[in-house]
Amino acid sequence: MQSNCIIIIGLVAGTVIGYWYWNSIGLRWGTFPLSSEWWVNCIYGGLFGGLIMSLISKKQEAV
Amino acid sequence: MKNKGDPARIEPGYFAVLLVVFFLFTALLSSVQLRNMPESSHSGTFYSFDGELPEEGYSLVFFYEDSCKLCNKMRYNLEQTLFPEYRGIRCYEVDITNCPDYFFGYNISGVPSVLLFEGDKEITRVTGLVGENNLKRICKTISQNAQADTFVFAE
Repeated sequence: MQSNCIIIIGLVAGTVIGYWYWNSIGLRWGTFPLSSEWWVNCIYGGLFGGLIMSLISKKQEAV
Repeated sequence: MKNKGDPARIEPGYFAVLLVVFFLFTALLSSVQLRNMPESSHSGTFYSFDGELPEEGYSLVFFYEDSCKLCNKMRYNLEQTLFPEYRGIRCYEVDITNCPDYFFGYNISGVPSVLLFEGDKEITRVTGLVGENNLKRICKTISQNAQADTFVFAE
């Protein structure tokens, strides 16, 4: 349960970072499919945030 | 140790699969969007760029290639964004086929590219095909103080 909470926090943090990235950089880049769309950046950020936190949480449990 | 009542753990593999699926989804969606995006029917929409920028005010320089479909789509987005509202921005265009010096001089990585200047100082650049909403958002942040000016289609 605790590890899932950590993963969800990572997901939310990743989404926020994704939005910040879009607002500062991604807004001006149309070189990748839909890279200049805010929702794409938010979802990628959320998924990467969740992935990183799930890897960290898994490593902590193994230790 | 996992107890019977504990909820299922979110595995990293789920996120990896979701990333791959989302990437494929965006690739498919963007190809559909690109196909449906209109192209500009005008040519020579903006003033021809001669290397000189006005000392004051905002300017936009659009780098394109004549045979590039993405450039025509970007031109359409620029027309939709700039012409109705942001008449204070002076707009120029450069065909990189005819003017390669500007392409290298301004460190352009590809076309379409749009450079925004305040006076002769570059304030932002847009690379690739970017939608109207994004262009409006970018223009809104820089054109608050732009003086009203009537823009005329280049003949």
